[in-house]
Amino acid sequence: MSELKTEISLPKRLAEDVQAQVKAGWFPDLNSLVVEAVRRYLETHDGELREQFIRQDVAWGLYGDD
Amino acid sequence: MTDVVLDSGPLIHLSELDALDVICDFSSLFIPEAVRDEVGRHQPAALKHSFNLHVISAPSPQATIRILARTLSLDRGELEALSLMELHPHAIFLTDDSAARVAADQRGFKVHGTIGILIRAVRKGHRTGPEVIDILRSLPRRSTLYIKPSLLNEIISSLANEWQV
Repeated sequence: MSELKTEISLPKRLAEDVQAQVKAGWFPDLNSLVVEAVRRYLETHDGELREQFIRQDVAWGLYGDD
Repeated sequence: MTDVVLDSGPLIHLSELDALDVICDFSSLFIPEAVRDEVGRHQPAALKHSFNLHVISAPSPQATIRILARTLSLDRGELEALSLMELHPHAIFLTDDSAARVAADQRGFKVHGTIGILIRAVRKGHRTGPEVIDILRSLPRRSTLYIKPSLLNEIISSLANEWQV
């Protein structure tokens, strides 16, 4: 797949945090920060695992003892 | 009675759903300072609820927690919450972040998320089955907790069947 270009809207607080990071020089621009954030998120958030955890939660919610 | 340590996700999501009261029956609700700060920035209403939330300074994380946090790219709130769990190992850790949940599992902690807490509310008599089903139906519209629609619909159907509603 080729490069994907998209448009995103950030809530005010997140936008402020992002702009502060870029302004402080931690990222050259907004695009670089978003790419890094998405890459890190995808590395550690497997979809199958999320589904498994939610199913465990349903069982606990229904039949748990606490 | 059970204590809980909260990550920011469940606090934010339950607040978005006007359902923070469903965690009031736990004996103590602990949050680390980093979670307070994160929730304060993104959903300050969650901290104004009348329940007794204890903000605790997390201890310095043990090496195991530090390594897990680095490996799984956990944020500061998740790291501090896991450090608090080391002080309260019999508590339940509430998080909606799957990476934080992996870390908690590794440490042998009990860990659950917003969906489990909402369903538990029926078991505990805080909500009726139809009320929780309504909340679950409204998730995509009212909250920033993202679940794939096919899974959410499957859960709603199985709960409706279980509760005969």
